[in-house]
Amino acid sequence: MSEASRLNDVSLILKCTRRCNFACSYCTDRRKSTRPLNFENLVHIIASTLERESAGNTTFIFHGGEPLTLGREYFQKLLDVETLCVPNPETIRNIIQTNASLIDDQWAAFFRRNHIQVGVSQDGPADVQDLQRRYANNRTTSSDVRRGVECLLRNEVGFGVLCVVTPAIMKKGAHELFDFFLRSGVTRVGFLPLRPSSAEFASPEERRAFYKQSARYAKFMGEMYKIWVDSGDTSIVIRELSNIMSTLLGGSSTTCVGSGPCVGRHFGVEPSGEVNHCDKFLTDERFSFGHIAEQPFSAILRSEALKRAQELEMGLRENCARCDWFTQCKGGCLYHAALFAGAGLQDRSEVCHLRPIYDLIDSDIRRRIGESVKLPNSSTVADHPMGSG
Amino acid sequence: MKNNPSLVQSVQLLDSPDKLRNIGSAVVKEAIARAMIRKTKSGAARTGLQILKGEKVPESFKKAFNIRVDAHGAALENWPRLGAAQGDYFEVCYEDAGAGYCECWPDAPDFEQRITNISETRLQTLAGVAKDEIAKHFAPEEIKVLQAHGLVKI
Ligand code: SF4
Ligand code: SF4
Repeated sequence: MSEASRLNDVSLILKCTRRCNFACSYCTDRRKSTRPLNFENLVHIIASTLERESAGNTTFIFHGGEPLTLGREYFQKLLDVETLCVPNPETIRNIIQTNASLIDDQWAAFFRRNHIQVGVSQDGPADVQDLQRRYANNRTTSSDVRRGVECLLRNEVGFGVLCVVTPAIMKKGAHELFDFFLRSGVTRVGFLPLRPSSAEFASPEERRAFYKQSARYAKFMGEMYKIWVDSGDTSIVIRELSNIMSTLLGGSSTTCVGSGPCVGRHFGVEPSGEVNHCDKFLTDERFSFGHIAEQPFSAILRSEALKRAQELEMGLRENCARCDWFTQCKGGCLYHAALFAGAGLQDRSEVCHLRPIYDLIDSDIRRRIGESVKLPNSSTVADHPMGSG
Repeated sequence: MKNNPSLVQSVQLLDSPDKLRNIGSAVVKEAIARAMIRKTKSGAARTGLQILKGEKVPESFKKAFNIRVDAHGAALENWPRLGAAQGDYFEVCYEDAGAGYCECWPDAPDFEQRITNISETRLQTLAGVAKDEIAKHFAPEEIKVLQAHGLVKI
């Protein structure tokens, strides 16, 4: 794909509902308000995104809360609206991010029939899953989620798992996590660092705590990398590691993290219809672009607010200027850069969780190339274009 | 990628009366052209469509066929070149390519009007089908939202 056409690609995380049947301990998304993204706003956002000038590819990521609580009819309508907008749907990609508890054969058939990719949020073995991810009524969720994952596997639905690397996960250790997913038949996994809920309002202590915990995350991922490459199993893709490997080998990242400037390419939409930069900045005024019903998406792309956010992004990414991996990593996740600002820390590369992983994989690749050892697959990753938790 | 062909077809038809007309005339063109080719190849071309050299070529024919005309709109040559009995009909109805023959005499004085009228009727039918299809997918108040966005135009 050419750089020019890539520039016209956008992805939108649609927070279809804030309602969720789970109440995960670290969740920043769940709200009591149960009003979903209504049909009118849905039509506004879908139609005007697809009708934007020189539109390239468009990815819609349906997120929540738990999107499946809205029922299949909601998503069928949404697909119908897409069809009304673009008779040729080749340029549209639909992804649903779900906790998997509601997936049954009918849902799986629906995903398959409509070529919807699925991202499952799952925190590994039952004890960790049940510690961190419980139903709102406090019931455990692991067996229902396992059933949902099995259903996807049985129906051959393309899916990947996203796992938030909490202290409990790190305590479990990379080995157990890797074995768990391998045993479950999951072949595409992303490991997200745990993050504070707001880059705008986080206190300096919270920001520093994030970077402190980042070192543990890097250690965990380093262990995961060794287990992964030693397994020699090229069918497994660990998204963050695959992407780093890919960028080191001259390829590109499949997610926003590692793809450089993201403002203007990735958007988050609240159930109310408010549009922001990505879903990490939904409450952040600096990255807020107004209501979708008040302006077409093309106007948002040309807006002063977006330009200001892009300038802000450039400034924030400059914190990476001293890093050896900037060419490959392009400044990582903007949300993490925004957390760094105001943390009272000096050099981002000194505290960044990605740098040690780059160091590790780079030296390992060099060694293995020297020894002509085959590396795991680095090109086909879980493909959720929004890469950071 | 998802595939929802019946709705896609409906959508194309819903677009606008002008586009509907164009789609209609494209169908007409193709149906007639195919019939002509078939007949020409089989050696049994019928001449309901025949235009004789020097005859004024109706506008609808000019749109549908590549007939060379002079400054006054008269045919520069017999068209099509194979001739047969005057007053015959062509086999494929331009309303529905699968419907057998058409009783509209292309050389009838009201041929052009018939094309327009019948196409319109046909388009109304197609629009009705499309409307029913849309109604299967969306509630009335949702159709209003879609109409407001120009996504449904009937
Ligand atoms: S997750 Fe991070 S890198 Fe991706 S779009 Fe959001 S801020 Fe940018
Ligand atoms: S400091 Fe971290 S985020 Fe920045 S370029 Fe280096 S590795 Fe990437």
